[in-house]
Amino acid sequence: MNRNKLINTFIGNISNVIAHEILKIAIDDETIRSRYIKESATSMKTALEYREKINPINSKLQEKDINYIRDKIIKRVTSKLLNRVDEGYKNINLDLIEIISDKYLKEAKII
Amino acid sequence: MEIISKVSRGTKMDQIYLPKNRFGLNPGSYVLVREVSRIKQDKLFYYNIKKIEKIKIIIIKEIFKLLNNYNFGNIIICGSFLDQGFNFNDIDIILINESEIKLEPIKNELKENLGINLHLILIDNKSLLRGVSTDPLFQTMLSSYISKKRFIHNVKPEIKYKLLDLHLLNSELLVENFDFLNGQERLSQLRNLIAINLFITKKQIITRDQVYRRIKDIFGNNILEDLKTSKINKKEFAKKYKLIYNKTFKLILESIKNE
Repeated sequence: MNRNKLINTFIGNISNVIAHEILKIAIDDETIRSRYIKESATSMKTALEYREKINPINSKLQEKDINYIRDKIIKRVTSKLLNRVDEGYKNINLDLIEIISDKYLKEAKII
Repeated sequence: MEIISKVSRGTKMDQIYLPKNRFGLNPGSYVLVREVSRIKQDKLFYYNIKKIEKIKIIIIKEIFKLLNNYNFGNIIICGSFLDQGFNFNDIDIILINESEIKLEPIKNELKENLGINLHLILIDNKSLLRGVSTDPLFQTMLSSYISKKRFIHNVKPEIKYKLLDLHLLNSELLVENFDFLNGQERLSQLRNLIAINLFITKKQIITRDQVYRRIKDIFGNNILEDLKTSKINKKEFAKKYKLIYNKTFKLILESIKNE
């Protein structure tokens, strides 16, 4: 898999993790929320496996790559969530997208 | 040689008598004296198990024995380990406990003693019942099991669309990640999708058999093997998969606004 493809697949996976986290917060049921608190860890694992193949592996990426990845993630997650909001899904906090994206990008050593 | 013997009272020292006629335990040899466990061998509880190999029962008993020290409310063995044959990757074990406990040392202890991969799920009883009622994955897991204690899960299905939406997300990237995933991971995401689809359309508690039948109906009888060996026609698979994924997602979205 070439670098661009790896980056795009990483974006797909990490966007999924971020959307998962925001949707989890939107569920207004404490029992269910606490039960599934660890759930997105599996998707994160896949995202990190892709990250491990993107150079530089152990330090943050170049500004150009960071901007591209961050921008794409925010667009992708926003689109996923807006799709739901348009259908009447309540309680989705779109303000969390950037905060949670940055949290996971740091965890993946992208920023 | 092993002997079970009673400790009898002596004047200066207590003793254990060994019969004169025996193999081994010769005078002068060193022996380990240990109290025989008085824990009664528990009866196993079977749910929807038609046939199971004796060796698996021995393994299950050993698991229960090793887990005895932790005093779990119940221990439930489920998943592909209980299917006929030995085509399983790990043993799914649900540990019912009312408080949090670190699973890693338990997992390591079991792995060290049994040499088998284990998938441990720690959950309290209330959440488990809630899971069976709302989560098709739990329903399929618990459609057949062997447990340490009787486990009654006579619950009504409760469809929580937001929760199913969350579960469905876990299957969204199967096609995109196909080459990166192993056979088991592919199957797990496919099973997740089909279980959710069945749950929404049937509005009943669903079983593992139903899920596998539906998978074979849609993708063909060899699909389980093909997913593992990558012999699959990816284009054809992706087309069918996306179709059923989109249908399921649409059904969820249509219902979510009324939740």
